[in-house]
This record gives sequence, C-alpha cells and structure tokens, in this order.
Amino acid sequence: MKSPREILLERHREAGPKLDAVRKEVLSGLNNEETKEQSWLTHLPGNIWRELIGPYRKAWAGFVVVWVAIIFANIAIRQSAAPMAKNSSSEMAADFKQQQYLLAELIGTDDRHIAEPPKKSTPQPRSESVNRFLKT
Amino acid sequence: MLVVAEREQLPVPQARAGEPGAWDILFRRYQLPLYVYIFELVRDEQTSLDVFQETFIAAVRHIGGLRDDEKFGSWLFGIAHQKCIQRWRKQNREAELRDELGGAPVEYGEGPDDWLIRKEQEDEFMGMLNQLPLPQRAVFLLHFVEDFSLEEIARITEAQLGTVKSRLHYAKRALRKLLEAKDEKSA
Repeated sequence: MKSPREILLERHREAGPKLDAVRKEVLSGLNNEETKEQSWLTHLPGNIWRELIGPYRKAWAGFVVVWVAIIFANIAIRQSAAPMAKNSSSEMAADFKQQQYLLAELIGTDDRHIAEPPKKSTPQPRSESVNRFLKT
Repeated sequence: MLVVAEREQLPVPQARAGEPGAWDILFRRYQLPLYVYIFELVRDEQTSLDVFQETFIAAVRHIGGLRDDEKFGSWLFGIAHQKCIQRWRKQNREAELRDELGGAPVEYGEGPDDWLIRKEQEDEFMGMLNQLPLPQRAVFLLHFVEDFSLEEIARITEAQLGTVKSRLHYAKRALRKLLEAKDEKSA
C-alpha cells in the first residue's frame, strides 16, 4: 500500500536526471551573473564599447560623418574669410584717414595737428627730472 | 512519512543573499515534487520542463519579494501554478478552469496519509487524477504531494478558502468512488 504522494513521486523519479540538468543550468546562470557583476569594472572599456557603441554602430558612424563634415566646413569658411578681413581693415584705415583730411579742409585747420598722434611720455628717473628743473 | 516543508530549516536568507550553494539546496529539496505538480497539471513532458525551469529562474529573480522565509515552499509552488495557468490560457482552455462546485464548506478530516492505494490500483488512481478538472487536480496535488495547508493552497491557487475546501472534497470523493468501484468489481 502506498500513499498518493509516494505513487506520484515514484512515477516521476525517472525525470530526476533531466531535473538535475535544469537545476545546474539555472545555477550556472546565477554564477555567471555574479561573475559578470564582479568583472564589470575591470572590463569597463570593453563593456562601454559592447553596450553603448556596438549595438548602435550605424548611428555612431552617422554622427562621425556629420561631425567630420562640420569640421571641414568650418575650416573652409575660416580660410576664405581671413584675407577678406585683412583687406577690409586696411581699406577702412585708409578711408578713415581720408575722412580726417576732408574734415580738416572743411574746418580749415592745419592737418598736421590732426594727423599727429599725441606724444608718449616715457617715465624718467626722479633725479633727472630734478636736474632738468634746476637747469631751467 | 511526509516532510512538512514549512518546518524545515531552509537556507532562504542565504539564497536571498545570492549564494549559489543555498539555491542548490532549495532546488534539490523541491525539484521532484514541483515537477510532479507541474507535470500533472500540464500533462506534457517538454512543457513541464520548460515551466519547471521558468519557475526556478523566476524564484531566483523575485526572491526579494518573499516576505516570510518559512513560506518558501508555497511561494515556489505559487509561481509554478501561475505559470501553468498562463500556459493553459495560451491554449484557450480557460473553460476547464471554471469549475462551479458551489461554495459549501465540507468536512475535512482526512490527511494525505489516510489515503493508501494498493499496487493494482495505482494506474486507476493516476487515470482518475488525469480526469479531474484542473482546479481540483491542482488542489489535490498540493494537498497530497507537499501536504500544504488549506490556507497555503488557497494562497498558491489564489482562490477562496471555501473554494479550496470544495475542490478538495470533490476530488477526494471522485477518487473514493473510483477506488470503491474497483473494489466492488474485484470482490
């Protein structure tokens, strides 16, 4: 005489090796998850490559192309703008000088006064300035 | 002799901490009764192995949600039960899940050990078990295979306590009828 439990367990006892295999598989998965967590920091560059860049390679490649195009365009614009800037500054200075002469002619003042820039006073030693004062 | 799962010292806290050795002990303890339960519900070996594996994986993932460590067994069977039900629903066999047995509480005096089946009746017993509607079969198996209390069975199957009592009563009655009929024939 057997209890229902005994009958049921006995009927399925032959599934034991398969159940052992499943159990080991689940446990190995558990171990792998642990080792994965531990090695995360040590394999950080590889992980970043694999998880951030790897799956979206096309998107990253697109970004790279766009950035290279922007850089080239930027360089090209700078190169073409540089001589123009030089030319424009010298032309402006000449224009300004001409304007000054015209203004001087209209007002009737001596253009030398206008054209001459203020003299720069160079600092001298105190003793020299005292001597100059005594001479005068 | 039945081993009552809830009184065993099981390494649930260690398993919760992620110790593979603790999980190994827990899985070894429950693997055969759990498989019996799953197989007798889904009646297909490959599906049973799939559900069995899914149950173990879900247990590892969701052990944090287990509040009472002593209820590990019923918690594990609850996961398996839900997965079996999901399979059944996928197969559009929900109709069989709806057994209206009436909610009248019935006498519940016999324990799993009170049932003893002769060797020549074993096949009949298994045949009868397969004929029971799924909800009755689930309650019957939980009661006889792991000796879960009615409250625990209610929790596992997410049913009312009265419903569990009814289901168990009808399952036992069907089994007894079958065994008595067999006895009469043999006499």
